[in-house]
Amino acid sequence: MSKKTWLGTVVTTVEGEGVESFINACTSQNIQFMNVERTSMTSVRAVILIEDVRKLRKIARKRGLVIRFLERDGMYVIKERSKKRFGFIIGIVAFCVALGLLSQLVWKVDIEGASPLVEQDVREWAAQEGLRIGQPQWRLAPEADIQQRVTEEVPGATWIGVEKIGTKYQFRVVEQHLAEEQEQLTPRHLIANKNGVIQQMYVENGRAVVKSNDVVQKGELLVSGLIGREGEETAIAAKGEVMAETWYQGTVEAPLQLNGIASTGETKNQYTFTWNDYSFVFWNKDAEGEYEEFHTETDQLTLPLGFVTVPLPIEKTTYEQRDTMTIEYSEEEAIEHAVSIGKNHLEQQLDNDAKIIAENILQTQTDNGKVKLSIHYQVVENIVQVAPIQQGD
Amino acid sequence: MSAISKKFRKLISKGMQIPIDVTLGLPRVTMIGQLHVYIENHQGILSFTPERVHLRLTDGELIVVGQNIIIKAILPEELILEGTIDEIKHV
Repeated sequence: MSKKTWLGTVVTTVEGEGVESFINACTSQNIQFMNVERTSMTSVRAVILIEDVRKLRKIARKRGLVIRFLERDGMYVIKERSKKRFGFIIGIVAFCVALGLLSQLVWKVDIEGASPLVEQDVREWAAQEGLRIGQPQWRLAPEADIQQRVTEEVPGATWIGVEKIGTKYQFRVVEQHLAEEQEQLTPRHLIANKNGVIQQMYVENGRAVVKSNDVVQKGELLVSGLIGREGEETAIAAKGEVMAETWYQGTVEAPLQLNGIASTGETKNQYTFTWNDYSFVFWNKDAEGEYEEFHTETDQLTLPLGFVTVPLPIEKTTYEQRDTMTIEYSEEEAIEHAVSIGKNHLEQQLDNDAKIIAENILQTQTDNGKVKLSIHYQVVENIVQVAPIQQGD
Repeated sequence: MSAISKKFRKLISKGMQIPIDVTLGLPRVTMIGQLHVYIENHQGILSFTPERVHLRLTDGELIVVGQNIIIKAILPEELILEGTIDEIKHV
């Protein structure tokens, strides 16, 4: 019904003779009145649009009426007020602009599925293309183009997917796995590098000399590199795996009592202001006297700002309370401990495909607060060792 | 409005099935309970107090009687009264 009331309205009082005919005159000139109230015999209060004020004044002057304008409302008021709070409006606008602009920058480049080497390559390539933190996105080529070019130009990757997720560029790398190069092998035999009982043999190239359950001595020939009829053998590189049961024996010691220093978990942070040679503790000055035994760690505080990290002239020193602790083991516990230590030691010495199949404690001895074990291990492992065939022999 | 013009308009209204208030410029008064009165095609206010509003129409006058009547809005051809309406008289 009412037009443009949101633009601005003003409460007006009209006083004088012939208010009704004044309203009629105004209405015929397209001035809109709202909430017209009679306040006394000769006066009326009404709400009119601010844009009509000038017309209204003119008509009122002609008729000798007194008009007064009171409170105003609507956009007009906001406009007036915003003139007074100009800085505030600028702030709002600047914020929106900044938000809009910043959301158009690259804030993260993520590389997924690449080995460190390839990742480094991709990262360098991206940086050189301008795809680094803080770069405006509108200067960059569309993702599909980047994807095609990065796949072509970065070696070591079969395919690199590029996806833009908000302000983040996500690279998905599928790496090439080149077939392993066939080693060039010289003619050779395979011999045993340990004493043992053969459990299982797998000969890829060559002629097996021993068979399962054979007992072999160190240095004994397992797979011969000479094949063919007797007298006219050709020398080839024997290749294969011979799993044999071997034996190890070792002594392990474990203490019945363990002394150690451990953190109690209680910490105090001390903050120091440092500038050149000047330093000043401004937080937790007494932290040093707090604990009897402690460990300290000092860090320089920094302010991470996305693409740069600004160091602050503040050092944080953490005081960690420490305590000496004594752990007592019973004999069984100590033995258990020793066994696991021994197993660990042995596993570290053995190859990956070796397996400990049994362990037997031969001897247990307790003295001087220590348990001393003598353990015998049965292991299945590859005992193959390469022995070159001398050509012309 | 001359008699001939009036007749002609009535004819058009009948023939073309246009509401008579449109063709003849007659007032259309709508009342919503006792609260509101919408008056279309008014010709101006003659007098106005919270108890009594006197309007001019194309032919005659309209008197609205009630309590606490205010003119909610007034446009060249449209007028809305608000308050407690007791009586509407066409004179």
